[in-house]
Amino acid sequence: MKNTENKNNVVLSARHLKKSFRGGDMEQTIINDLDVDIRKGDFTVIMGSSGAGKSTLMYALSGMDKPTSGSITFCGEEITSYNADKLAVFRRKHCGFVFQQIYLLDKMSLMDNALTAGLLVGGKKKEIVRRAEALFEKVNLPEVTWRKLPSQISGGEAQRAGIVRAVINRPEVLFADEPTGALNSNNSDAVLDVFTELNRDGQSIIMVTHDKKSALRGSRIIYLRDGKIFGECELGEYTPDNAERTEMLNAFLAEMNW
Amino acid sequence: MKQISHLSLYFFMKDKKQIISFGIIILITSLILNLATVLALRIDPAYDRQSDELHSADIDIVIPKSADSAALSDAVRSHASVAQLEKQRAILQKAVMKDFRGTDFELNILFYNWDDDRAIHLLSCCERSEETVTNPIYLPLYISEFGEYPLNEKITFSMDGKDFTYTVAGVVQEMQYGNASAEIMGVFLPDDQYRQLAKEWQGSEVVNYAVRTAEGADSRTVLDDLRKTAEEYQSPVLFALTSEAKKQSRMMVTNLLTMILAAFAVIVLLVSIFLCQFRIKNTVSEEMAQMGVLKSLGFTSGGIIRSIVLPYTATVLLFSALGAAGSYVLLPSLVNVLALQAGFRFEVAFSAVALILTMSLLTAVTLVFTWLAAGKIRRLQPIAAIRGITEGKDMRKNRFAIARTPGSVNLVLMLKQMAASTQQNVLLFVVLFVMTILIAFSGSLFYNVIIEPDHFMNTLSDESPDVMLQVSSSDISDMKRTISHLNGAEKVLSYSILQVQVEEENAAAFVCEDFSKIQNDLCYEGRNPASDKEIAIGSALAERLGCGIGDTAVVTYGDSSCSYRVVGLVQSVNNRGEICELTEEGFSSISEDQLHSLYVYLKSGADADDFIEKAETVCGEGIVSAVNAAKKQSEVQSMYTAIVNVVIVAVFAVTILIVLLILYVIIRSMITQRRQEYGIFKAIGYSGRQLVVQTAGSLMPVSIAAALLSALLGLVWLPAVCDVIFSMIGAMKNHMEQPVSVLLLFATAEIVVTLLISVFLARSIKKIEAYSLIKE
Repeated sequence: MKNTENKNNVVLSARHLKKSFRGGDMEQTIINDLDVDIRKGDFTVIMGSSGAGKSTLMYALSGMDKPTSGSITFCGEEITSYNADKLAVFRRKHCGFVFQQIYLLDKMSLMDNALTAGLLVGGKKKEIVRRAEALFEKVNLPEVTWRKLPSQISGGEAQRAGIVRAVINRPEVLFADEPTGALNSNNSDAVLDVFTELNRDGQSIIMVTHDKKSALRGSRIIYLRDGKIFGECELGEYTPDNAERTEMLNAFLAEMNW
Repeated sequence: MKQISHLSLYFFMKDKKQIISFGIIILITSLILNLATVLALRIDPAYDRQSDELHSADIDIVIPKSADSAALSDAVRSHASVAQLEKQRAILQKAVMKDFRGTDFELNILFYNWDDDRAIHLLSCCERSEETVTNPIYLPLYISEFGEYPLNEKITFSMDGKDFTYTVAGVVQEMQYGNASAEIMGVFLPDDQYRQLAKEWQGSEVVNYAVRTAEGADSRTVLDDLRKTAEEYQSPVLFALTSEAKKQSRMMVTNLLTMILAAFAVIVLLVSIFLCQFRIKNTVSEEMAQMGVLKSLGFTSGGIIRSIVLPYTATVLLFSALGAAGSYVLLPSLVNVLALQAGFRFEVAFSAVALILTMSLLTAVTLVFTWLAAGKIRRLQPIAAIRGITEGKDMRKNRFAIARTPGSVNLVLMLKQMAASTQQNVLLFVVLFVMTILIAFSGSLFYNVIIEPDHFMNTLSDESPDVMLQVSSSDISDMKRTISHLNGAEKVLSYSILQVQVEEENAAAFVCEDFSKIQNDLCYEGRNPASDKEIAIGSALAERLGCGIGDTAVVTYGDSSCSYRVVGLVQSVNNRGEICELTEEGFSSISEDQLHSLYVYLKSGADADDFIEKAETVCGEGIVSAVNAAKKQSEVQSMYTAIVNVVIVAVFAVTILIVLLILYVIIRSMITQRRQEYGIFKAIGYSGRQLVVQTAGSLMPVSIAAALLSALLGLVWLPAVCDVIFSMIGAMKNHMEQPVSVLLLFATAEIVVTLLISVFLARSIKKIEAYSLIKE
């Protein structure tokens, strides 16, 4: 169980985080005075109803979007004051992203998609190619698919390739925004299995989802409402067909009126 | 129709900045094309109209007054093709005009009597002094404007060592001579001044036979007949000119400029065709899903095509009209420059024909090419379009696989980006290639006019010493020896220019003691004469006489004639190829006259004015007149340098503007099409700067290849173009060189500018946020 608060174990923390959007004279606050700590090695799942600010929170934490106010400390660095280019450099070293729409570069093969990220940090090309090959094998993408373009493979394969691209630089945190949202059930399971395996190997993951089956893979559930953390639940390590965990999650979500 | 106009408005709004860029290029094309068309359509008729208004002669023949007779004029008048003859008295003198555009300028001058009645070559005063001036003179427009002698200004003619100073009382528009290339000009003195001059130069009185030919007569043939008539009456023809020859020389620069402008317009039009094709193809691919939806809603392919083509057609109509209007802003200054060379003022008037031609051409070309580019829409199946399924093969290839391509990931991504669009590369290649043609041309001018001016000047001019001396004829050998020993003199050559007749044609004879010592070899075929029985003749003369190397030609000077063997063909722009070269020994066969013209070449660093002062001190009365030819040459050269500087700046400015507009369209299209891709790159961790460099860099291989290839091809086509241009003005051999280093330097400058513009325009990529992937 990784539910013990340990400051040394915190990889990412936000304090008084606020994110609002201005449209004309109207200001809409999505995240409001939110504090959160993300522990190393956790599989954190962010849930909430539509418009609760799940994705907004995740992208603010990852440095992809700038908060309106508050501070974010990521791997010991205060990143809220970083400019766009510095944030880009920060992201390439410490973050990996998996999107619902996958967003592979469509004119590049799966291997090139992975190497585009992998070679960005530096290192020998041969080594990074080998690392990419190992990751492709790990996510069960056969060699024949590596040279294919995203348009030539299935959605599930594409998402697994997206995960390879996201983790090739061994990020501190892997951010996933509804990674199974566009996939069928079989492909969803395959993708979630990859996440579970990565987490078992020590990869910190933050995943936004509204899918209970996906949420069940997490070790910690954060529930958002009106831009604040409304509730939290520690599920512990995922094991398949674990009825106790399923009940815990159901109870938590029922408590949250989900 | 309403639906189509709504759809057109949508396509216009979507691409408005790029359509406006296209419009600006059309504006430039239209401006240049309309300039060329107006010049082509207006100047020539204006010239003819002016000639008609002034009742100009078709043929002018100048003979000595002493050789004129009533019998001769009756014989001329009786020629079947002579409609009207007027004899105009004048005084012919070789004169140096002092301070002509800051230097001394030697020319054959005919002093006419302003108060004589005229029925031919009427005089139209375009400017007249309101003051009463002493010693008044009326100057033709060319001398007044080009020589910089405005109203009330003094002008001094130095003739055989005597100075005659007059005050400009009026400027005359005449169509008789025109410009310096005629080698002879007319000026006009009131009766008192004329009589005084006539008293001074009685032996120089001449009669100009101003002849108007019957309609349909060939003035060249009539002139040949009249020459024979003059010969029969033993009247030597001193000068003879036809109106065609005058017009050709006066309009040379105008015609040349019209051609260059038309060529320039074609080049820019080519660019705009590629641009509109590129944009329309991109619009089709960017809006494919919407087009699928429109088709599924029942829009016909034709309707969609019309709605895409319509904004471009409207843009062409609007911007071509604006460009044509803009050309009328530039025309007055352009025409003023041309008027200097053509020697007549041209009123800029609106030409509806030019406007219609310009607008129709641009609109028709745009319509055809946009229609062709949009034709792809016909093949789109609605459902395939909605799903974004394209027929292109490009999408199925992963070019420059990162694992296998050597180089950094940024470099490989740059190459991938470059390989992503064939259309874009074709457009960029064409633009850079054709613009480099202009850049290479200006590079060639820069080298040959500014860096190595002798190349250009030697092509246009005849033998050019540093100092030209007229010495008293009795002691030329002693004088030559004395002058060659003066400090600063490198060599002294006896070199004279005289009027002779070759067969039946008048020609300027360049008589030199030794052609192997001259600096500017005019011979372009065969060789210069070396013995007393040899002659080299000018290109035009050779053509007219139908003789070539190996033939013989009879040269007449005064009453004596002698036959010479043609050993070479020579060129002379100033004399329109109507020249010949004889050695001094050869000339002595037809004249016992002592030649008295010396060409002095100075050592490097020696000052021509100082040298003249020294020569005059040492030789005293022995020197009749001295001209600082180096200064004259440098004055003319500075005029060309100024023109070339303007050309280079104009070419670079237009190139930069066009490259800027094209790159704007390309980069904007790239950003529109690849917006999501840039977002993904940013999410992965690529910085804005990396993406800017990547994008700008992806344009460079094609730009570099196009610019360098075009510049190197300049080595092949530039000499050919120079040959054509110079041969048009009578220079069969030109000295222009095309050093590869200069062409590459200019191409490199263009590449650097292209890179800077690309980086500047691609900076907008920085504004794309990774988060926009989620937001949009």
